[in-house]
Amino acid sequence: MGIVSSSLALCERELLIFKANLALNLARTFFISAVYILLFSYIGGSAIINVPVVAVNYANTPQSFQFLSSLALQQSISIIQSTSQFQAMQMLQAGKVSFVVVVLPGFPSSVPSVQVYYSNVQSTVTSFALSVIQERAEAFTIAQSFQSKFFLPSSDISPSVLSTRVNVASGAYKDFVFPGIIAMVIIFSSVFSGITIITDRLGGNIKSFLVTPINKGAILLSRILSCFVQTAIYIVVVLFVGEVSGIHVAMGAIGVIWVFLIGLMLSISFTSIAAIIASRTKDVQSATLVSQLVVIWFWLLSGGIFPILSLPSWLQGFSIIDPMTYATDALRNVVLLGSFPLSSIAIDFAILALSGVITTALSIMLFKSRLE
Amino acid sequence: MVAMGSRNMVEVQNLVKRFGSLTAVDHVSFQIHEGEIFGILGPNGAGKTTIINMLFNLLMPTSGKIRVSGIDISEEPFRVKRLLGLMTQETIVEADLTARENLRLFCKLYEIPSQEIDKRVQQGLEDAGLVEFADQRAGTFSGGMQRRLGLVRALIQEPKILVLDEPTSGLDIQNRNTMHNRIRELNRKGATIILTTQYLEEADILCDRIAIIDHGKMVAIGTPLQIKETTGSEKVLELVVGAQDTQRAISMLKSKFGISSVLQGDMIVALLDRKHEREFTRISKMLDSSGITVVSRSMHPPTLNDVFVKLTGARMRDRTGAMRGGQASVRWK
Repeated sequence: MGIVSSSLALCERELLIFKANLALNLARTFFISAVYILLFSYIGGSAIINVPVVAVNYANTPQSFQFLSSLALQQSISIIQSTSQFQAMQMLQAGKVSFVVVVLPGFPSSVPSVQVYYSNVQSTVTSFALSVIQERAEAFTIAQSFQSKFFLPSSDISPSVLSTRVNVASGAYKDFVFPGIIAMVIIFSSVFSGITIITDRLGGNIKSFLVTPINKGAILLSRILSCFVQTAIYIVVVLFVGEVSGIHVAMGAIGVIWVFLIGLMLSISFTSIAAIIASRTKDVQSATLVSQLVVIWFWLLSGGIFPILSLPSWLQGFSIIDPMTYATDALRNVVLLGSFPLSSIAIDFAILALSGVITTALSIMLFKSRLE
Repeated sequence: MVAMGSRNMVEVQNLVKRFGSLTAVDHVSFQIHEGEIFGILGPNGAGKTTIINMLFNLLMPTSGKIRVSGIDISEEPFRVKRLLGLMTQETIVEADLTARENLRLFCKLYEIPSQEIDKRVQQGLEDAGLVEFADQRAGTFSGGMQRRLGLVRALIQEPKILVLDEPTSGLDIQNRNTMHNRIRELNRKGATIILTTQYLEEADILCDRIAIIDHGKMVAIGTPLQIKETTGSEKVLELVVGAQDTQRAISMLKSKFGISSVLQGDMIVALLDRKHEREFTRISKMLDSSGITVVSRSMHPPTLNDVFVKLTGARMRDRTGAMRGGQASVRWK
């Protein structure tokens, strides 16, 4: 029997089950996203461990390098180098970093010798990091006094550091976190859908399907298909909650289409990851436990609720192998920045597709071997 | 029970299934003729469900062959699956789907042409007596209703062979009788039926032929009558005596009459041949006169249960250690 027709039949079953519990499913998604958005609107992002900073060094003098390495030695600052100010500003605008530090060619004697751009998001850490940067810069510059309109509204003038506040999409942390919440709702629902394989398995439903002439792969494929539909519905709910709380998709209507595309790509990986967990565990309790651990880690490491660069460096490596990182990055470009650079599209989609293919293949393999 | 064809619908040859060190099915061979009700009888964990699962290609046999209607199952599993319908041990319905949606789903899985689906679903609902509940969720149905739905679902693709894995376990008497009548009716219409059960009476009244399975081995096969005759005895004696007299009564039966008996629970059970049959009154009197309190005494023709005792040395029982070969493993290794 064709895998397509049996997948469609089983997908219809999944959707009928979804429909039977529609009110609960929608309410869950609505409340989760609403609670998170409400919660995060009032958190100033103070939980951030490291402030991500991009440095552009135009001076290339020994003192400028000393200045940057002294910044990097600060425990609360995580610094990355960039050669292009344009690229650095783009990262700032996309919410990937909080600061851009430009070391001007005349450093340390020119006035000003350091230019700082900082995001208007995360105000408490920002002011702290700004003071650190100013302090470090001051140690190198000849000028003895400095001024920051933001930090010290005094009459003292510090020509050495010129800081500029940059408006990133909007000024609230909830905007920054919104793409992360979209991604979270998608993976929660995908994992939930994938994990129900285990209840079907224990209840004997899968056996009742396998006695019919269907392809075994259809059991998994149907779940991924039905998850597509569910994900799309959940995205509508989250976007609605966002709209109500005043968060708008910066890219507009086209952006909404992008959000759907990214969400669907992401749901493939996580339905399959859940199916892998479901095929390796023997009861609902352990499957739920394992999947929750996995989901929480994927979510925290994805840069959804704080920038990846603010993670300790040894954890940042794990973010690279997290498919959710790329979905969050893509969503952030669309929702927050309002533009989706071609290089980002290519990388994000390539990696999401790759992870989808790998996890699906792996889950089908493990799943079939479990069914003999 | 009509139209007993000579053609073999199912042929099982030297079937073996091992799970690690456990041999769940051990060189089992049998044939099932067209149009008969064939019972596979055995205690829990005997290997019944393992055989059924191999018949449906859900488990690969370690060795041996299964042919259904002449088709080798390992070669053309999909063709075989179309000939078979299964009603599983546990009542499995899609709880969140309505009765109608349940049947539609399986029509689609069996690739029944879409123009025919509505007709078959309607027919199925009528057969199950669920027309007025057609659009209610199956999860809200009673056990008996779910079982009826399960049965029509197994029949939706009009299988030649219907496999019923413990169709009446957990049903009350009324539902059990309804199920028995339904099975007979289906058989009259020409379906070959394979039935696993642990109820001896059920096998006795329903089946044309029975295979008794224990420890994965087939210990007997034949009609219920043939199997009962294998005990070679005419009557079964059952005695219940006061607990303190049990051993005395057993040794007295042995020494005075040469009857060997076994203790099953509180009951002393002995198989009597024709000679001893006439001595029932004497045995009875002798026990009374030697001061043994006889609580109850009876003699009756052997039942399948007695056969089972003779063949396997025990009454029907659960064997948890062997569960792995049966239902537990099928859901997952």
